[in-house]
Amino acid sequence: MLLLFYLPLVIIFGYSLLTRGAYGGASRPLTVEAYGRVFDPLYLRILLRSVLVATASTAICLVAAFPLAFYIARFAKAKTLLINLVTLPFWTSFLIRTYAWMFLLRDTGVINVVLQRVGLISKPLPLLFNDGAVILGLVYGYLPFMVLPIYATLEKLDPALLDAAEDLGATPWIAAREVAVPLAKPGIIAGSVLVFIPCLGAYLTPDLMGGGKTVMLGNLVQNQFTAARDWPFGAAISLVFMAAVFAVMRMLRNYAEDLL
Amino acid sequence: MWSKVFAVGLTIPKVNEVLELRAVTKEFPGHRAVDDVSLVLERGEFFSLVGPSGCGKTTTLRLVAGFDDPTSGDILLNGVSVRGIPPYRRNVSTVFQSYALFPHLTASENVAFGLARSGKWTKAEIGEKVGRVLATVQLVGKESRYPRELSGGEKQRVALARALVLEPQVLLLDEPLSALDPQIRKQIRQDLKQLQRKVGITFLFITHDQEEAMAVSDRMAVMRSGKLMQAGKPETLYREPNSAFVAEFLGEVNWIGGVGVRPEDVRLGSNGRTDWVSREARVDGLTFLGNRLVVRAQLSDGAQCRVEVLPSENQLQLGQAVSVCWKKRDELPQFEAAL
Repeated sequence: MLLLFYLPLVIIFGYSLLTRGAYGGASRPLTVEAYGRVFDPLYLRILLRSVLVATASTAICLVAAFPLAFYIARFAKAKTLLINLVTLPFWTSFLIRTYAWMFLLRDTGVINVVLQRVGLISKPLPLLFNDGAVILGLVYGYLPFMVLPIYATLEKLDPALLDAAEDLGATPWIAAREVAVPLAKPGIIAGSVLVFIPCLGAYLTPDLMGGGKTVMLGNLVQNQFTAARDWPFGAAISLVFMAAVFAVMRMLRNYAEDLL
Repeated sequence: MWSKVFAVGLTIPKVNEVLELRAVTKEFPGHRAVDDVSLVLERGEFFSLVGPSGCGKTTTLRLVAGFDDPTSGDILLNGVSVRGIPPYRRNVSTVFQSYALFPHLTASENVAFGLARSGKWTKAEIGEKVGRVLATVQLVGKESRYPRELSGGEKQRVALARALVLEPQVLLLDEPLSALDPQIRKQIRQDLKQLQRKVGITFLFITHDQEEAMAVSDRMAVMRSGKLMQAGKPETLYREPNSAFVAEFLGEVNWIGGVGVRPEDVRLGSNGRTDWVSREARVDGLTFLGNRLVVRAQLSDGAQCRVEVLPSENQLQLGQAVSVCWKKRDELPQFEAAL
C-alpha cells in the first residue's frame, strides 16, 4: 500500500535527475542541473503567486463555509439533505462545471448579457480570464471540502455549550466566536489543508478560467511536460514545490494553532 | 426593549418577589409542555421544581433562562417582564445538567467567561472575583485545570462558580446532581444548601428526585404533565398533599378504604382510643432492610398496608394475624382515591 503511495514519487525523483530528451522523455547522464534552474526568480514568482491564490481561496472558503456548516449543524431541520446538497455538484465532472462557469462569466456570457440588456452596464465586465475568476473557480470547486470537516466537528458540539455561553452574557455572535470556533478547530484545520493543497496544485481552473494568463504551479509543471518537453525540469519543480508546500503547511498549522 | 433592560438594573426598587411566572404556557407542535403555570419565588429562597421526567420542569427553567419564549403568559424578574429579552441580557444564570463547561478553557477561564462578557470589570477585578468564588466552592488549586482533568464533583462546582460569580437574581439549576455518583450526591446536596444560605442568592432547582427536593428546599412545587400540581413547604406537601399524585410522588401511601396514610404513621397492634383507627390484618410479606423491617399486611377487605417496624422488636411470621392502627389526624387529606 505504502509502495503505491511512494512509487510515483520515486519515479518522478528519478526523472528529475536525468537529462532532457529532444522530443520529451529523458535519458542519462545523471545530473542535478534541473534543480539549479528551479530557483530562478521567474519560477519563484509563480510559486509565490500560487501560494497567494491558494491562500486567498482557502480563506474565502473558510469564511463562507463556517456559517453554512454552523447553520446546518445547529439550526437546520433537514441536516442530511442539506449536507447532501453541498456535495451534490461532485456528481458532475469538474471540467463540465468549469465550462458552465465560463459560460456564465465570459463577455458574451449570461451575466454580462443580462446586465447589458437591463442597461446597468454598456460594455461587458471582465469577469473571466483573471485572478478573480481563478479564485472564484477554486472556491466553488473546493468549498465542500471545507464545509464537511467543519460540519463534522460542529455537529458533535454539545448545544448546551452555546446555550451556556449565551446564558453567561455572550451574544449569539460572540458565543460562536468564543466557543464554536475554538472547538471546531480540528475541522477548520482539516478543511483548510484539504482546500489549500489542491488549490495550490490546481491546473484545470487556472488554465480555463485564468485563460492561461494566470500561471500557477500546475500549469508550469504541465507546460514542462508538454510544450517545453523538459521532463527532468518538470519533475524537479514538482518535488521542490512539494517540499515548499509542506513547509508552508507546517507554518500555516502553527499559525492556526496560535490564532484559534 | 432597552427601557426594560435598564429598568431591571436601575429604576425598579427591590421587591421581595424576585421571580414570578404568570399563567405561563409553552406549546410545542403536538403537545403542551408547560400548561398555565403560575409561581412566585421570594428573594433568597431555595425553591425546587420536582416531577417525573417529561413533566415540563426543564422547559419551565428554559423559559426563565430565556432559551425559549412562552406561548402565553408572562415571566417577571424583580417585577419587570422579561418576555422577548434574550438569555444574554437576563440577569439569571444556569447550572446545566451536563455542566456545559467549555472544554477549551481552564476552570478559572470558565468562571471568568461571563465576567469578561459583561465588560464591566477590569482584568484585575475579574481575577479577584474568580479567585474568591473558586475559594467559596473549594476549588483552590484547581484553577488551571481543564474540565477533562476534573472529577464530576469538581466540574459541578466549576459550573456553580461560573454561574454564581455573576451574582444573578436567580440561579437556575437543572438536575445538577444527577450526573454524580449516588454515594456523594447526598453530601453534595447538603453542600449546595449550605452554599445557597451563604451566598443568599435565590435558587430555582430542578430535579426528578423528590427526596432530594425535600432535603434542600425552603419551598417546592410538584409538576405533572405541564401543570403545577401544588406548591409549598416540603412538610406541607408531604403531610397535606392536594392530590393522590402529589401524595404518591413524595412518598409511599397506604390506601385503605379511600383514606391515605403514610407507612411510618401505621403501627402494629390495636388501639381502642376514639382518635385512632384499628384494623385486622394478616402478614403477607416481610422485607428486612437492616435498620427496619417492612411488613406488608393484607387487610380483611383486601387492601394492602405497608408498616415499618424495628426489626429487633418483632418476631413476625408470614400468615400471622396482626392488627394495624393509626391516628386519625395522621391520615392524609381526603381527595379522589389512588391513581
